[in-house]
Amino acid sequence: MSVGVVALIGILYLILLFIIANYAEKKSQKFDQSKYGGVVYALSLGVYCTAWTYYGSVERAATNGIDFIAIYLGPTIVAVVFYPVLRKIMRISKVLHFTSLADFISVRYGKSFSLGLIVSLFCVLGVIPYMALQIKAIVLSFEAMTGMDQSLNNNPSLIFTAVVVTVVMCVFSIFYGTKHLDPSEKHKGLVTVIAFESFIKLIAFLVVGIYITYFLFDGFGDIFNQISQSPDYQRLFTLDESVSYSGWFSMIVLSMFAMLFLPRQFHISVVENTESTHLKTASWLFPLYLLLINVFVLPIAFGGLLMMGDDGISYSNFALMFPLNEGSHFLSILVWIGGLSAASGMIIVESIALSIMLSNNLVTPIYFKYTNLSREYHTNLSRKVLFIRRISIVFVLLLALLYFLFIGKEVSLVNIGLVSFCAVTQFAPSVIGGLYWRQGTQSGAVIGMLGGICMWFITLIVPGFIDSGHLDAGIAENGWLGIEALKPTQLFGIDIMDKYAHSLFWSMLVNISLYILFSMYRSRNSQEIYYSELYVDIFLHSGIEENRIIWKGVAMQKDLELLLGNFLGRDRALNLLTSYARRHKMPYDSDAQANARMVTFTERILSGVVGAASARILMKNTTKEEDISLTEVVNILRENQQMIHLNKELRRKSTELSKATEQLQLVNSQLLEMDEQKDEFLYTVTHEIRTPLTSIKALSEILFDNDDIPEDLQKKYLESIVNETTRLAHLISSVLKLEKFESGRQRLNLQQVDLQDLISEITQTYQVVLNEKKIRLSVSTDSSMMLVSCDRDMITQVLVNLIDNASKFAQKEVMVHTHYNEDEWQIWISDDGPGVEDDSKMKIFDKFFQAKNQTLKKPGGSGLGLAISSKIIELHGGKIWVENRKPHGSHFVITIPLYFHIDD
Amino acid sequence: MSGNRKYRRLPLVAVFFLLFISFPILTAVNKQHMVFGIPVLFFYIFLLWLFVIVLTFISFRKS
Repeated sequence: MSVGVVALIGILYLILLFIIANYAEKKSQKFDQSKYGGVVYALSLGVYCTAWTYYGSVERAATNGIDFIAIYLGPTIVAVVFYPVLRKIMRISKVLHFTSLADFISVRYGKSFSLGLIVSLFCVLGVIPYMALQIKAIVLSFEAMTGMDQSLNNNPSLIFTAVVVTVVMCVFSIFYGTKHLDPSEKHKGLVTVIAFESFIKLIAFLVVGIYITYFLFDGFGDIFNQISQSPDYQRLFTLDESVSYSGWFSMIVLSMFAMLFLPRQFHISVVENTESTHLKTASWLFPLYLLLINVFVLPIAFGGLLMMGDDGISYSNFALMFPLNEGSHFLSILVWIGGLSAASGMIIVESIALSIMLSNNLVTPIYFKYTNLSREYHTNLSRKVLFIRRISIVFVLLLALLYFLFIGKEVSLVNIGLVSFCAVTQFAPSVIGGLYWRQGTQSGAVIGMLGGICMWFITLIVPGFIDSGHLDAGIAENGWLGIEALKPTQLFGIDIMDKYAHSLFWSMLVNISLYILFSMYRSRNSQEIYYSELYVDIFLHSGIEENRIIWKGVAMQKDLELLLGNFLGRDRALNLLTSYARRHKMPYDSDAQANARMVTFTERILSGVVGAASARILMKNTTKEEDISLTEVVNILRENQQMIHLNKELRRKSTELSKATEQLQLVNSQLLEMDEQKDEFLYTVTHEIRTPLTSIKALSEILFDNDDIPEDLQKKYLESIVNETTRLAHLISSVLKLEKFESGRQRLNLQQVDLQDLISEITQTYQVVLNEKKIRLSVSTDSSMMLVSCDRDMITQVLVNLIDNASKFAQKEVMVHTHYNEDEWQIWISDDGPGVEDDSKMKIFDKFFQAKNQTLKKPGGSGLGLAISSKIIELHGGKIWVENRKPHGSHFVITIPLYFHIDD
Repeated sequence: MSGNRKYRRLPLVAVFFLLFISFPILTAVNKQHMVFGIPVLFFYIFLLWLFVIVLTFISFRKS
């Protein structure tokens, strides 16, 4: 493909990235709150997969088999298990407005300038070669695409390509990574572009993987089968246990810490995180991303070995060479774009993260320290800080370019990546210790880290220099100063590990030991005590962090306003300070003296803008600080502990109060309901009483006023009066009985009753009534003996009531059936009437249900029979319910426990 | 089971994962055999990996 076409495609792709970034900046808020916010966050974490993944994994798989996968298994473990750790880091970073790992570590250990500097410089030292290798990957893939000379020595086109790539990355990083200084404003455009690039590289890799596996070969089985035929490659199917044992494990551990502490990972996962809930999505989506991007690594590597293994092509270029050799231009462009995405994403984020570290921990503090700040306050300091940050980006990328041009051309992608991983692992003891161990001190962190770095240098960098011929090979063979025990890759005779495991072991041993040792024997200063408390218990403290004051001195509010205004603009500064004052019910007056709380708040905001070290210098210059003693810090912490305790107590009381309120509300609603029921009951009872009374009154008046009524008519009227009176008496007696049940005054006269006898007694009595109605009554029982403990009269009343009810609705038949079920007797009284509507099944046992439902056909009765029956059965510890019978009719079911007794 | 209890199980899932992808357990599958045309070691690691992802997904989905 011609240079022009490939270059044009590259430029068009970069323009697309600019468009996406701009769009995302405009729509950022909407996007964050959507469900896609978590997906974008998870995809942006895919910046972990650099050109190392895209090209390097294939190379490693082609030479060592599956052991490349270890560096993706580590991050999976991190994503799953370190959710609480990351959440803690995120919370601390948000509360204290951190923008880099260096700030995170240095503030924990008492805002240590030296620690921030060590972390920043070591990050640059450890990661620059890794960035250089990304440039190398872009350049080599460009050369491969255009068919240009791929030799790395004195190749002008290669140098030109490398310079152009670096310049473009530089422009993008400056444009989208240094737009503003306000830490509350995230780089949404940048994050979206990184997520987009992650998506592109995944798609490209999957497409080329499918193409190779299923179009050039006949699937996974075919590739693995073919490669297994070759004795040279059979070893790739397994891990060489004699050397891989430690190497495999160390790669998993290294990649776990790389996932947390590589500057770009920290920047994307912590600094650019907008919602901590996105972490939940990332916990499964990011490992899934890693799995998918690795699915086709082995087929590509093995396929490459089978088809191009002897062609002298670099193994890392297999993915690109397949489509190129097959003449598939579209696919080769897609693969190249994927590789460009993998490398450029890493370069952009890493350069921004490193530039923030360098500017915040080295350049800006030095600039502020040696500048007359009182004069500078009247100029725009934010521009200067942004300028420093931009220059830092240029510097970082220039270093990476120079490394590539002068050193990195001979080094493989894989080796450099692991060296960087090992470098950032040196931060692990200080960070993890700082998060969970209060006693960790500044001296422990500094000395431990320096010790670890020294071991890293001796065991990994020195052998690298020996291999490249920059150092005497005798050191490797005979050890330092000819001492066998000081061989860089076999320190003290340990030769059972590969060089990365060896380096990890020694550097961590020294680092952790020194950290613990110096932490135990050196006391902490006031700042360290304060921040160790905050870090270890951030979830307790974050709520009251704004109230914590660890500052003493004199400051004017207008000075703070001026200072903040220099970086954030006057309006934004005023807005921040006034809203802070309002939030804490403090008066805001520019000419008044600022209290310690406001000074602390200002410093925290400034830390996010220029880093903790620079913020400290600025605050010292702006205010008249007084030293704060250890006792005062201890007092502050004690007050905070009390405040935490009070908060906890308040929360507990508040929870109890709300529970009590809920209960009261429930009781109140029950009382209201009961009141309503009482009114309704009274209304229904009076209504039911009035009906027979009206009838009695009318008939009595007729008889009283008319003496000449015929005798038979008089008799009929009197009979009606007697009937109505009986009905009235029955109603009143039912009401009284029900009241007795509801008030709990009803007592049971328990005796052993044979239900079989009772049922036959009742049915015999009722048979006559039913015969008159031409309704058949059938009885069936499971047993001849049904002994239960119950109140005979009451159960009789229930059965009579139910049979009577059934007879009122039955067309042809009423059935009584009993059967034994576990430890209770069930009695079924069924009819073939219209049945009961589903809605009424529960309500039918309510008092006066018939009376309240005028739409129902009323068969007569007080309307209290079922309610009383229900109460009687409940009192016996049984249940009563109704079911519909198919095709029509209903079953009334009662259960009576076999061994019922009444508790005293 | 409450979401929080499921979420607290995640470290266990990770430890289990780390244990099963480490030697000496890995030795059991570090063989030349094939499963469904795929080397048994590759098959084992990818399957276990997917299993852990699904477990994590379920845990966070329910929490």
